[in-house]
Amino acid sequence: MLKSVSAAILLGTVLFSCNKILDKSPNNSLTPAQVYRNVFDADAAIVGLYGKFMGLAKQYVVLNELRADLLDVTANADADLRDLNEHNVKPENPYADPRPFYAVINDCNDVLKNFNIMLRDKKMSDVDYQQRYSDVGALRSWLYLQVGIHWGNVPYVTDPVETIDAVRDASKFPVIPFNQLLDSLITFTNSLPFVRPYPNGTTINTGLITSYDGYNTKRFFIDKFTLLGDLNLWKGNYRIAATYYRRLMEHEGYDLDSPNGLYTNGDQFYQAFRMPYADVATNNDLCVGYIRFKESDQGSLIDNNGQGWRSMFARTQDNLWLQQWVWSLPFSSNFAPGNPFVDLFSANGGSYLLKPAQAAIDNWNSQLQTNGFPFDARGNFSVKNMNGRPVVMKYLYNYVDNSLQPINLLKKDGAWFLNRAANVHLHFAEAANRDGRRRLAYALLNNGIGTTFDPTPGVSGRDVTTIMNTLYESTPYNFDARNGEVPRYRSDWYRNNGVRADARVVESGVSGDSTLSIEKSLIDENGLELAFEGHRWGELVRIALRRNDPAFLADKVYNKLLKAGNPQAAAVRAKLMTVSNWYLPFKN
Amino acid sequence: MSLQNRLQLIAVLFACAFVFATCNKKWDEHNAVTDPLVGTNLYQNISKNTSLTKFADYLVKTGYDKILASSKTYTVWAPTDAALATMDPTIVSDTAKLKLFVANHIANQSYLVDPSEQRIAMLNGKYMTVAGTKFDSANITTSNQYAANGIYHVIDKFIPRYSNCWEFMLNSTAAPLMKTYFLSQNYNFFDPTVATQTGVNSQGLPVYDTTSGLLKKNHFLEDGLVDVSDEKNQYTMILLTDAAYTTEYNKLTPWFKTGSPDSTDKLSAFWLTKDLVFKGAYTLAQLPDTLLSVSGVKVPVNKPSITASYKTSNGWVYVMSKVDFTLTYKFPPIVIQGENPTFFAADRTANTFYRVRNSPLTGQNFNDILMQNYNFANYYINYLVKNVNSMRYNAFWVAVNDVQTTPLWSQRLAIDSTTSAATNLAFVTVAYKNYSEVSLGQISLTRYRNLNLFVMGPTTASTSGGVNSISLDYIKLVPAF
Repeated sequence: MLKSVSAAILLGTVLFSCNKILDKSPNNSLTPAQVYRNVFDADAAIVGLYGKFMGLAKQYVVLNELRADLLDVTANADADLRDLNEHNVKPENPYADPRPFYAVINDCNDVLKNFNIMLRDKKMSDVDYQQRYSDVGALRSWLYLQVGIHWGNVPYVTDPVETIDAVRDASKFPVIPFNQLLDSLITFTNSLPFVRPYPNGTTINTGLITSYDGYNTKRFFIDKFTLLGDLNLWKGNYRIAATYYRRLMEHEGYDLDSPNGLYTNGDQFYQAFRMPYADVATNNDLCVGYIRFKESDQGSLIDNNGQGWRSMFARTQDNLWLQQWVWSLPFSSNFAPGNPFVDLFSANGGSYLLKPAQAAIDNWNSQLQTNGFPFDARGNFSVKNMNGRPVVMKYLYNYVDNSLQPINLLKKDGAWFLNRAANVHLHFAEAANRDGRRRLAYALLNNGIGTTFDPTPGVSGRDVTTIMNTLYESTPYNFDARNGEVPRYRSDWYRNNGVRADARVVESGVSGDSTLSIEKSLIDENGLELAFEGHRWGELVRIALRRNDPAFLADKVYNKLLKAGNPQAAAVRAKLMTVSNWYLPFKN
Repeated sequence: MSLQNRLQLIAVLFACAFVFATCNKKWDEHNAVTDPLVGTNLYQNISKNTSLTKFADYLVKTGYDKILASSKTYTVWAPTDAALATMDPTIVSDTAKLKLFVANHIANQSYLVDPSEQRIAMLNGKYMTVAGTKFDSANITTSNQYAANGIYHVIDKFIPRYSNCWEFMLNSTAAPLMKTYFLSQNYNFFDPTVATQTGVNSQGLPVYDTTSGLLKKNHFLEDGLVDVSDEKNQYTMILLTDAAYTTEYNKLTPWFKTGSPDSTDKLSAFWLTKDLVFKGAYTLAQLPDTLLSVSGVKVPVNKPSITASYKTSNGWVYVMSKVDFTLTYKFPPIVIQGENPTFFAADRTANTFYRVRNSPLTGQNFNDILMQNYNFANYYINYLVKNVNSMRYNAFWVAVNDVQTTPLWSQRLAIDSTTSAATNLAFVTVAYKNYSEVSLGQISLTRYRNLNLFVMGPTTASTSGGVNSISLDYIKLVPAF
């Protein structure tokens, strides 16, 4: 009996004292309260989020390019890639798995929820909250747009869930049509409290613009103007889309080194996001260029990592780089995640799984340069031959040397190219064209505003007050590109040169219905200028949906497979003539 | 534990042991070799086969029985006794010859009967065409007989060891003149990698003995674009009878006028014979009316002129009494590309443009050279053309001016010298956007030699306006005979 009593007492003591022990926090993980304490924690959460987001780079480029008409598989490619190429995707195909996207979306949801808690608990100021909440919110909208483009009807989840598989539970999260998804995304993204670029962080040391691992974060974060522009372009709100694009093209507040944040003059003012003309004397530009006065000589093509069109994919984050890039995330051997593109594309030091389609190469070779060369030099930069095998080069310029051999097999530096000025200009032109501003669209596509709106280009000593501008238009179509001496004009768009003129190719021309013709030229230009950068499938889907013409998309893919000698070409075309076959299987 | 429990446990243990013990054998058997033939080697299996006694005897006689009993893998195509009944007794009695004969039926590695055609190397260095149940011209009657170290097939016919095209020509008397020429191309070649080193001289360099290391080589086989002594690939060779050879030879000599008869003879003979060897084996039935030689010359093949045809180990040899070459095929036009100059009058790199253009005439892209405002009177671009025949040529060029309508500049073609009025052709105006060939005149060569061509610009110097311009896509020299 005594034994039992003592045992009971002992047990009681143990249980009693347990209370406190159980209160202890786990020492190998953090609770939200420990993570989200102040604005620095919030910034760390955002950077962590982008780190995870970069893990999508490979899937994003593969889905957007291999399914479209410019990228093809090599003999090394596995069955999953081949199935994507032939639009014969099985549900277990890892590239067709939406979960990686939803994993980042879920993290966004979690971060957003905690930012709201921080604001409620006064752990973050209103201004800080607005910037950070908007950034994560915009990133989520961008992710949803991608999910919608590839999977069609998907669930729109805005609260954090326990497991990603729960998203597939249709009873909890009903799938909504793409059009409805766009509405939700536009409503949500419009409601974001802060859509402007971020102020520089060096002064107050709390901003988002700073330096991580040796890379400046000026182009690290998603640009909300172009996101809103894209969402509205998909929706068909052309004027609204153009207005947002125009705000980026005017690079509001983007001079992060000037005290008031706005450019007033100088190269950055005239050139940032304006697709400026080439510097023909020094070739320090991002245009297709030749050594001056030797423009007719093949050997004088500017083909290096420091000058000309090619250099935008290789140069450091200098002023010229900032003028073109809107959104780019760096890959470095110094931090994770690793660069997936070297393995995907390089024939030297990589697995060479994907290669440029013959159709894409033919597109470049059917162009005519203004110096009479029967090709588009952007093809020479986008594709090079490694041991006789055509290789996608845009991602490899920091990895290989001039002889196309890896500089250092382990140093796979590069970038995920998400958006740049040329894409924004083409999208603006697409919106303007559909909104009845065909000439303006034609100008931005071809020779620039100043030349196109000039009845007698090239004549000097004129009064240009009434030409070289579209100021008779209301915003966002009012451009001033006047460039004259008496009276003197150096208007803000006077250096604008047009996408094709920057690439030194002749005008696209117009035939038949001008709206459709210009739209076709814009899409063709997208293939020439932005090939392999992960835009293509979305572009084709958007135009084909807008025109209600599945053949627009099907023929392009058919043409790629046909030129590659793929026996599935006709079958794939027949399949893609049904819109529902454009989308990947969502359910496993 | 009760006694009963213990007994139960022991019983279970026994049962287990029994099961494992019986398992052992089953396990061993599941991958045991059951075919007794696989346990014995190729030689043993062939000697056991009652229809292959003669071939087995040959194997013993030549020592190949030891090789086929070794651990390397072989495939043997063994002719039956019936097939070997017609065997030449002189070969059987000569061990060296017999060895080559036997080795003609044995290959390294295992080759199962496979419908796709392949050329397989035999142990004597010859290659056999094997496709499906065919071994060269023999039929495989029993196929895929396994042994421990390979496979043998039984064939209904033996395949003699053939000479290759070159060996055949050397042993043949059908074309003495041709053979004389080929033999004249023999030379000795010293190969230090096979020579025996006898010592080291005072400079520290190796000294070799005088006999070893000297190899015989032949210029025709090396320079003639096709090496018909190569066993690996297949060829067709035409041997011309002396009469036919002389006829064709005499057609060529006028275009190879040189300082010495020897050179003319050598050049003419080479020019004639280089178009008598072809890649690919054409049987008599497969021979087309016109063969294309490796250098691109169309060769008329008139079947009635074939006096004899021989199969060789690497193709076919035909003896012909006539091959009537057409001179226009034998001497195709010479094309000199503008973008490959030899040298310039002066360095004008900054004014020299190597361009790519698209020709609206052909729809094809082409490369050319354009020079502008180079500020040099009588500027020239030189093109050295090697080995031009002693004949008259009509000269043409394509010079594209797509840069200016005024002034239209003139340029001319000069031969050998930039100053001699006697040989230089007249100035020709380069019309705007003319992509077609422009006739320049005729040039006449009295000797077979290298030719210096100069494309010359205007006679005055100028720095601007495109007055000083030269453009050239290509020059074409068409033989006029």
